[in-house]
Amino acid sequence: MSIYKLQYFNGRGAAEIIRYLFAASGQSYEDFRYNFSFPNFEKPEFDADSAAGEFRANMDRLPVLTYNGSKLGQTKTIERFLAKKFDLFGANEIEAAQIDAITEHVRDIKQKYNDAKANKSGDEQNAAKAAFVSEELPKWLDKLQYSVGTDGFAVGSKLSLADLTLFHLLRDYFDDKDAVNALVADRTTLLTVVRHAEEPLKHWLETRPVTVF
Amino acid sequence: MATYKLQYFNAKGVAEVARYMLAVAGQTYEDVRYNFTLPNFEKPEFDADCAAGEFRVNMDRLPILTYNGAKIGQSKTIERFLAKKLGFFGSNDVEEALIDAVTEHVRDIKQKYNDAKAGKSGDEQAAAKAAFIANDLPKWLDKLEHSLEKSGFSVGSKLSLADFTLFHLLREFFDDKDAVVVLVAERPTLAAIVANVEPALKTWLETRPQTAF
Repeated sequence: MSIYKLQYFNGRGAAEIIRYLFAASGQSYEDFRYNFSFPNFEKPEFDADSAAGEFRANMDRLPVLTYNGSKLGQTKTIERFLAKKFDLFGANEIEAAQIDAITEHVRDIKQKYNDAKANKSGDEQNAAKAAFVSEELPKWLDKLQYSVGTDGFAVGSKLSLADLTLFHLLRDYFDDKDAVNALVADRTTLLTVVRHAEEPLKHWLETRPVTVF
Repeated sequence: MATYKLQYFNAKGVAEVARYMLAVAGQTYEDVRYNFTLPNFEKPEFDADCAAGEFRVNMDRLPILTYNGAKIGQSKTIERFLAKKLGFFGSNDVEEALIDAVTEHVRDIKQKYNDAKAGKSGDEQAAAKAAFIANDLPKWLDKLEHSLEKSGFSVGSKLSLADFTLFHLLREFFDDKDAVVVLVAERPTLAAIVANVEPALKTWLETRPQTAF
């Protein structure tokens, strides 16, 4: 039985960078996925386990990582915990802080995108998303580049959580992948990081479950 | 000897939890505060330093911590870095993750509050804030209460970043302090943590600069 068990819904969502970490490190884990149905997001097995107090340590939410019997919640906490375990958090405390800061920059950019499309739907939302990608995102990516190393890795001289987080933002997050690919192609530092990150993720990207989100 | 410099606006804002830890640890640091004028937030010294590239590593934003000459951006990264350095991040890897998760729970609750009041102003915003505190916050605080240990500390047996973060949420963050004081008084685990933090922070709270936010 694996010492690591990840519980989340059957989707990429907030758990995908966690799964990247397992894939990049080669560490085995139980990838437990709760089913749900559309369009009303019915999730009876999750509801039952939640009512039984399974996720109380995480305010009744997912994802939860069980490590040697300890339940750890919160996506970003789990990412940082595993990155440290798998030597994907830099070579010293300053590199660790630089990696941590890049994950926060990416988080801020994703929040801006969410703010732009919040409380809108249909055509209005599509327009808001497109406007963000064409007008706001380029400026954010320009600023982001200054925090990223030019040796092929986000920080220092090896792969880290920062590279995986950047890969998620730039290849796995936005709906309009073509538009974002074009922005990345214009930015050499980011493009090099993305290309390096693709390698350890290749097998996972090809074999992971295909899901709605 | 290690040197610390914290650059932020002349405000509590997102730098205050970092300042809590520095104060409680008795760590000397340079507390650099950029002035600004209300209501239009004019900040010429910040703008000049920003244009000179001072904050490029942090996407041109504050706060920034300079530790032995190395610049570290992002308020939450700074908090985690200082927690680790100053002994507020638990005694082992699992405690560190449990503390980290509490800070993420608090972050989520603050985000929900911000979402509730976003895009509103005047009476509409005041009503939204009041509704959140009356209807949503109690449920979130119950979930938080159930995720914490019963020892008087969030995690383990001493003050940590989690306790300081909770104190900030429960005593400093909301405008309607009286309403939140009542909610905390009804929840013994949260109340005990706040009661443990208060004496440690007393001097800082009494002597810190008084600022608009």
